[in-house]
Amino acid sequence: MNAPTAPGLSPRETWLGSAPRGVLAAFAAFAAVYIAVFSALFARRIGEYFGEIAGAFEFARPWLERLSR
Amino acid sequence: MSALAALAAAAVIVPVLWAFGERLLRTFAVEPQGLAERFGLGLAVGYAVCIVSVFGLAVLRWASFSPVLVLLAAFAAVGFPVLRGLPAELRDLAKSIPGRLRGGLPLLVSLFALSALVYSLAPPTGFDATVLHFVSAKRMAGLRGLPLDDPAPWFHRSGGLTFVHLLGFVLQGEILAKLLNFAAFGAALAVVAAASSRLAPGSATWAAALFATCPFVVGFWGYEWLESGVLLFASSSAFSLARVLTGGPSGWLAAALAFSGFAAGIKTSAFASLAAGAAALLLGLVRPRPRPWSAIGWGSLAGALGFFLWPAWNRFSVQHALPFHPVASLPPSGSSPVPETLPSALLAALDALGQILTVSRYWNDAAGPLLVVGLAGVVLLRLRSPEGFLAVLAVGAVVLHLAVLAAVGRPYLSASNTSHGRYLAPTLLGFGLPVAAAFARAVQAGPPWLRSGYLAAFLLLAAPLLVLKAGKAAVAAPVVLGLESRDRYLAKKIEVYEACRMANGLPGEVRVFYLGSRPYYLDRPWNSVEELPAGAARSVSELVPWLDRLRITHVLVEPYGSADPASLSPREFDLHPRFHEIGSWRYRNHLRVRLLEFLPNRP
Repeated sequence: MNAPTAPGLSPRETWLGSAPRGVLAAFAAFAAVYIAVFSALFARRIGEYFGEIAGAFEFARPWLERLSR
Repeated sequence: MSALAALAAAAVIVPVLWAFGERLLRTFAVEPQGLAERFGLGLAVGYAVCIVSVFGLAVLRWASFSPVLVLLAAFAAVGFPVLRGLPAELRDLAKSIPGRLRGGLPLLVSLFALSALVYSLAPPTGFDATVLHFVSAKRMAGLRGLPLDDPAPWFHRSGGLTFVHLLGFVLQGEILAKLLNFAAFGAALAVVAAASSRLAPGSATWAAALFATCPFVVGFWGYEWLESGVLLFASSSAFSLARVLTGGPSGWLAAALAFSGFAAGIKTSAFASLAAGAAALLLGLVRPRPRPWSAIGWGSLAGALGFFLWPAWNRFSVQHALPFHPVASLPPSGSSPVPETLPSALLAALDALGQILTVSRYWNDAAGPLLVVGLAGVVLLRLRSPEGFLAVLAVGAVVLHLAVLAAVGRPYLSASNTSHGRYLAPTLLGFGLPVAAAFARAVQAGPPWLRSGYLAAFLLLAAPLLVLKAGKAAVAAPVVLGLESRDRYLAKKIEVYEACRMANGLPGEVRVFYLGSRPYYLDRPWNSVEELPAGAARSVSELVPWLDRLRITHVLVEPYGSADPASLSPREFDLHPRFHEIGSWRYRNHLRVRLLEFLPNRP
């Protein structure tokens, strides 16, 4: 029997919707751990880069200081 | 002004190459459908032919304005039937844009693309581009072709897309070359969206969103790296394979083989793209009779042309065919120990795999977590399908890359090499993004908790990347709009720029010995330390006879990145009577960029 079709999706795309819940849960656990590890490592790298970007705006510092007075 | 001229030139050249490529595809009975497919694949073919033909002009030393313009006119004549209909089609597309941008994802993709476009219109500042890639194109534009005896190893590292850049340099300049690079990313986006849409109808928007938020794409779109070409050809070969797998005519088999060769031909480190060619060959050979020998033959021939063009030239000109060039085949920094035994090489390969799956030294070398999660999901849940085949191909390309390095390229696996992510990202993205996007679309049909989790992960990555990309565009916008001078912008971005500018303005005959890494903005004749025999200049006194032999008048010292600078300390130059400092500029970590006059030898 075909899996129920979500609105706007063809039956071919519902294979994930009809996958066993246990398999889906295992996959979701892997994805969550992986994305969390990736995000932590990525945040450290991109944080350094944001520092560099901020450096490029140094020319605006006097203007901002005048504005904040 | 140059940004406007470049935009106008690109608005003509890109459609011409697209129309020519599409016409060529149709001649070989390969029929792309829809604007995204036609634009992406048409431009891929246009760039491939451009690489071969501009290379031909460069060999003949005819790579100057008029011959390249004639070449472009010939492309326009061939592509005229397609070109004629484009204005009306693009007008219809423009009318539909407000409706298409109504969703959040298309708007997000447009913001990334717009930021990249702004950056494309600013003068080149990419590190590797001002060390290698644009330096090659600029040197060739000056010589109207290829030098026969260039001893600098960096010149021989990469070909391929460099000749598309050369076309830009010859017709207008560096900004047009950057825009042609920008268009390569745009075409890759179109191909990825079209391939994903073929695998799972309705997934094109997700494909575009995943593409635009891959750290690798965010990092490099708008710059001058060659990876855009690898990505375009790799995604085109994956698209063609998907068409073969879903019963498309055998012309797609030839296209997969051809695109795979052109992807791998761009640079040595892109050899994993050949996995798509191998897969296409396999699919052709297992097809029921009559086997598509003609498609296999033509495709292999075109792929071999793309792959062997540059190594063959190196073999002819400097007697070393990449990837076997003795210096260029080594990683940039060979200071850390090379894994000698197979077990240590496998451990190093695992370390490299960690870099590919997470982030390396640079954030922009990451392929992105949703790509890996999507590939894993398809392998786990839908292996026996066209998506599954492409997912295995993407994983197989990574395994092939690391296995080849462990077997014959162990210097690349030394601990100092942190570029594995960058080397593999274009192939991994080209093969894997359509699969990951098709998976993302399928997630929408899954349980709500899975859908919400996926969307949260997407936004977690997209939000900081958009801020970063928009920030980069904001830094470049004043120079693009003419509110900041080019000199001021470049002095801010490139530490060695002021020294190059001073050397460019020196009166009389000047020949610079460039002891550093970013010579792009040096317009006077120059030689580099890489051109000397290894170990020939371990001290300033050993360097002096070489400088005399090369008729050097000035030395530019950039305290980072040259092949053998560590032993040439600034103090040694100060103590030697033949060097006189004429300029000094601040560099990072309290070091200084210095321009020295090399005084004549007086008895």
